Amino acid sequence: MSRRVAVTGLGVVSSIGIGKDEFWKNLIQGKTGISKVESFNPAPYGRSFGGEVKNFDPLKFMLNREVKRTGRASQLAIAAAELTLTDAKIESSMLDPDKSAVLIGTTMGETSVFEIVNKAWFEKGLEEVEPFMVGRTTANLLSVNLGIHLKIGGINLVIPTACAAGNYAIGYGYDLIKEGRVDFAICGGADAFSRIAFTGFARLYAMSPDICQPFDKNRKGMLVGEGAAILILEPLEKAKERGATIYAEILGYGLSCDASHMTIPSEDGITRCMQNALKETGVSPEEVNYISAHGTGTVQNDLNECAAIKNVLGEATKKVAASSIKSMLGHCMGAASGIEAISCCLAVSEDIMPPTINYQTPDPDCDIDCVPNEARRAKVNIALNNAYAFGGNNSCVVFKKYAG
Amino acid sequence: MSQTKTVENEIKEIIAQILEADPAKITLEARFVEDLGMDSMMALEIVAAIEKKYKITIPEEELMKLASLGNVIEITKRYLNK
Amino acid sequence: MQDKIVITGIGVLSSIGIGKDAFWQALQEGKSGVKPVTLFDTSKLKVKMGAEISDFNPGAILGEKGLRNLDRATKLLLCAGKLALDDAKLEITEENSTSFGISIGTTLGSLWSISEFDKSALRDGPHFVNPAEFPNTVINSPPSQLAIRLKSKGPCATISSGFTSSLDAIKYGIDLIRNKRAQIVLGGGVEEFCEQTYLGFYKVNFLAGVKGPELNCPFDQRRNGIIFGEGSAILVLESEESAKKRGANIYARILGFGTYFYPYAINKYEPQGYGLKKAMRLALDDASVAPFEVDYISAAANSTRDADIIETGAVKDLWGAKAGKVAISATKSMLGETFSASGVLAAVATTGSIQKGFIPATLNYKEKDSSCDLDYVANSARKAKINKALVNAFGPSGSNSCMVIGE
Repeated sequence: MSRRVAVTGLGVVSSIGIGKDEFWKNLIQGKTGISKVESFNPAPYGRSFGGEVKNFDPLKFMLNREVKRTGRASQLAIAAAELTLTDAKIESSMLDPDKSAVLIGTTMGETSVFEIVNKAWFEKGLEEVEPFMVGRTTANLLSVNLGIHLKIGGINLVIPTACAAGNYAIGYGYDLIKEGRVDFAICGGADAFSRIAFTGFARLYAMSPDICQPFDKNRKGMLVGEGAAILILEPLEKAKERGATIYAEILGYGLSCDASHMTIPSEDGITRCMQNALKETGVSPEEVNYISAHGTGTVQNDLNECAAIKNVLGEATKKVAASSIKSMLGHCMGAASGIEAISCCLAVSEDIMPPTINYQTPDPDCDIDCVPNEARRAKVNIALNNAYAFGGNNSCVVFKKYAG
Repeated sequence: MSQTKTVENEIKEIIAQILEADPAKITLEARFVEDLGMDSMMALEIVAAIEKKYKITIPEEELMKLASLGNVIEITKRYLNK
Repeated sequence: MQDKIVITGIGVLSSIGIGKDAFWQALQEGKSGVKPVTLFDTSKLKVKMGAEISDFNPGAILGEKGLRNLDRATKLLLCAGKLALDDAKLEITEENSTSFGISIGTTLGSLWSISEFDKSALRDGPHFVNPAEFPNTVINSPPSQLAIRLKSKGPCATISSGFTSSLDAIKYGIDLIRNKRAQIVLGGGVEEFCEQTYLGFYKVNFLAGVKGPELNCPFDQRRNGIIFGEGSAILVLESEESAKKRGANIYARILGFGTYFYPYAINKYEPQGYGLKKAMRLALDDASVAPFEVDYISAAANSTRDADIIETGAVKDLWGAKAGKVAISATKSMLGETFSASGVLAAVATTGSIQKGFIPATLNYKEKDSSCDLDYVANSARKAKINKALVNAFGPSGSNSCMVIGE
């Protein structure tokens, strides 16, 4: 069996908006979600900015007793799932557990709970650690909590492939729908703002002191963000039958592994990844209109990504735009590629390319059209969503405009 | 004189451990990348280990200059004396 | 027609033996890996036992260089990878590297690294952490390090689904092969023995010895919790066609797979075992195998009050009146509860059963529980021809997965 796969629901919790409409409106206005870090004192880090979601109230999406027994990453995922189900006009009772999948990508799992537990254990000793907290720290709980909240059984997995995790979850959801194994895939990524990630990136000299400027000559690094994005995937034919809004069709995806370095992406690895995506989907370089770049804003990533795009698209590079919304959101870790997937779906359905903000000085080594500073109306038929992770786990998902 | 020798030896030891290289091969001029197989993570580790040991902070701009033992010793001493 | 998937190489590190021959031998002899914990201090705890891999010497298997910053879980996995590839007589080269995939189940694998990294920041200040330890804090670190070491350039995935992680990862790997994203996949799992996890389980009263005697005795009346263990195993998976083409030795065939998450509550076993029954049915259907054709069930029973009775109930539900006729045993009675690695360790054990014609025993079975009244192959291994077997994995929090393996 080989069914076409449609995206019929978009739910997002981000630093520039909660819910698809607010998110998209602010995205195309080039609004920044970066602010001073408040969830811990950043003074000892020498870095103070990040993309925290400051107005997230989990009680809007779940009961108080659920809030009490879940960590922030699970709450973000549940909120995004509620938003996407509403968006898709699906009640969870419509989801047959024999034909459903819940797939969540993440980098740090339930780190916010673990960080509290670890700190208490370190500072006060094991006796002071609340037992119920310990039981809430494992990464698999992101999809488990969501499954319990929605009361859906079936396939349920966390795919923690770090900064590419959202794409891996969406890709696997695509496979399951295509093969007829499920009729609904609730998939995406979630990550809460992590003190540990902040510490690590700062120590790697990878973090910017102020703004994230992908592709800019003077880019100073990435910023840590948080959020969640959940997409609903359905077989295209069934989506049409129930009169669903179809945002985009997923044509397929490519994966690769750098097998070279844990933190610096390799040009070869990401070239092969995009090539695999185009090969699997039969899309030619000339047909690509827009790329949602991984674009973290580090010297290395942006350089290697631009080189890889040129390797893959050749002459067609001149006709493609590749922007990075991490310029607005920072790097939302496992949620990033999920949020960027939502951006791709809206790009193809609305024919608008979101901008790369903070772009001041062109870099001759990153000479692609990055949609500098202002969103652009343009025909977007095919969009690629690039995401590269620590460990060299690369992904590229291909979205196509659905014309009816 | 002997204090300098100790710092030199300490730094050499740190580098030998991180690069998993024979200390005899870590001469003042031996190039970390070309001769001793250092990658970018090892470079960061060397900086971090030296900062921690001597309680100094080496600014990011100096990282690229740490190409050999001689460079590292010179930069470390410079920031130690600050 | 779906590609038939076979196992052509095995790498395993366990508390009862390193390498498949030692592991299978130990299973036949009924060796237990449970002993007093040595990796950290348990003097302040009521419990003292665990199933560590004693004298783990990764340098002996991998060579000494390049292991310095790797955590225990990563080193365990790298060793399993090397052993598996060697066993399959495979080499990853520049030419074939993109045809290999990696799919590993691990959930707690990075907890030690995350905890230590965070503690060093809390202790010395965030500026003085070791940057080389940061990559260990991401859950996909062990499989990615394996890819780097092997220069394996096809897809590399990590699955975290708790107790079912390694079976789920094997399934993901099978899908990679069937979708032509990889030709050969190293599929498996790892979980390391660490203080953070041990104390975590202790704190929630999941370990034996807190509310009863500190015993590892699945299905036994005295059971009262798990003995925590560690391990790592990798199966070399490929299509039967690919295996035959390169003249590979085939250990066993993966005939079917089923998975079912049942939403109940976190950290509580659902008493009716609805999810486990579903997963087992789905696996048998996928394999087109009827219950009466199954010679052996490699149980996930882990010496907790709940799990063992739930699994017994599931067998009774599927086998009906014939439930007493199928041999069931719990290798966790020897290996302890190895969490994410448990599924693949059981799969390796079951492959041994198929190869060597024996069923490993359920150790420490002395006092009968009237509600657990099936044939658990008590205390000594049994000679038996195993044609088809079921491997179960499930945990509290709702995950259930099941694999059917055959010769």
